[in-house]
Amino acid sequence: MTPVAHCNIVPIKFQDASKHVFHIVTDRLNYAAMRMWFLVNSPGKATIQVQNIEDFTWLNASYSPVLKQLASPAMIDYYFKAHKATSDSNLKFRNPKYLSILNHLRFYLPEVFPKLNKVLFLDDDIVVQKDLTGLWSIDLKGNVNGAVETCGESFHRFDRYLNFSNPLIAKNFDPHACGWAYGMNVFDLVQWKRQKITEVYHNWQNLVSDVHWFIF
Amino acid sequence: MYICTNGSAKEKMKAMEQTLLKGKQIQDDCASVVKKLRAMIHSTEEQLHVLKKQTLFLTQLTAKTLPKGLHCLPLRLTTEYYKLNSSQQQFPNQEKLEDPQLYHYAIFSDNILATAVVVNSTVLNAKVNIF
Repeated sequence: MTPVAHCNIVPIKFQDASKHVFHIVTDRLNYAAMRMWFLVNSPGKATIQVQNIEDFTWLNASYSPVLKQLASPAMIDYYFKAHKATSDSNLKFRNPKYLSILNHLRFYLPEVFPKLNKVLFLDDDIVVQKDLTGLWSIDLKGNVNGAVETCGESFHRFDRYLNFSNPLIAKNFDPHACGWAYGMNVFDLVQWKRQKITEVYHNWQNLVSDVHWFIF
Repeated sequence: MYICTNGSAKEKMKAMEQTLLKGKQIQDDCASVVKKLRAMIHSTEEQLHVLKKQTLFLTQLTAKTLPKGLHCLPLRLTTEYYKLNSSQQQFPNQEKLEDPQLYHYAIFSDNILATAVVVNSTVLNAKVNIF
């Protein structure tokens, strides 16, 4: 028999380019411009959707307590009035960007994506340096949110954020539990709905008649 | 007139004297602390002045060196968008938006350039070049 050179063709599983779908939500002012940018600079075969947050009619003050509160004079004072005798850490939380509803839309992911099971939430101040597709296959073990570990000795612990002298806080939270950061988060929307996270969020938000919950 | 001559009174007087001395010393220290604080305020103010000047310079530098194409970017894009007819304003593959089998990303932002960076860097670093 004549020797035959074997060429083992290793099957390469190609990621189908067109499997990536970007859902962008912006405000009325930037809606047309955002669409134009991605119409002209389309990212390969990926799919793009650009929506205007004002088209979400379900997102109104009677549904969302935070929306009602954001419009209240007390809240606007809090963000825009000069405060005396405050520390630097307070300043971080008093950025007027938190007044923008676009910033609060992240708490309504199942409402924004009613048909999806999982989404990767990305903040606009990040630059991606690796393939992210592996994140969809992470087993979240029934958890709603997969976040990057940023917890240190006291850094990002609940007692840094919440006022534990309030009995309701003390009863419901562990002061040493880890807070997590936004930036890049996997959300399991099925679990979100099952655990009624939006309802939990609304309940807490309704209890915040003023901002004394937090260590401000 | 009653003159106190016993020893314990003398001791007490000595203690009093020492206390007064201490008080005086502290007062002196106060004056020097005030002096020091004044000097600190002065130097901090000087620093502030320098930093303000620097900020002004850098702001001007940014304004001058920003590529002309990026000036009023949202405004220009908006005008261009409304020049398109309604079929040109649509994105392709909209049937994929609700397909749970795909990789869905959510980006909520009012910053076009920042969003472009997120989307582009995600796509460029996806395992297989998807262009």
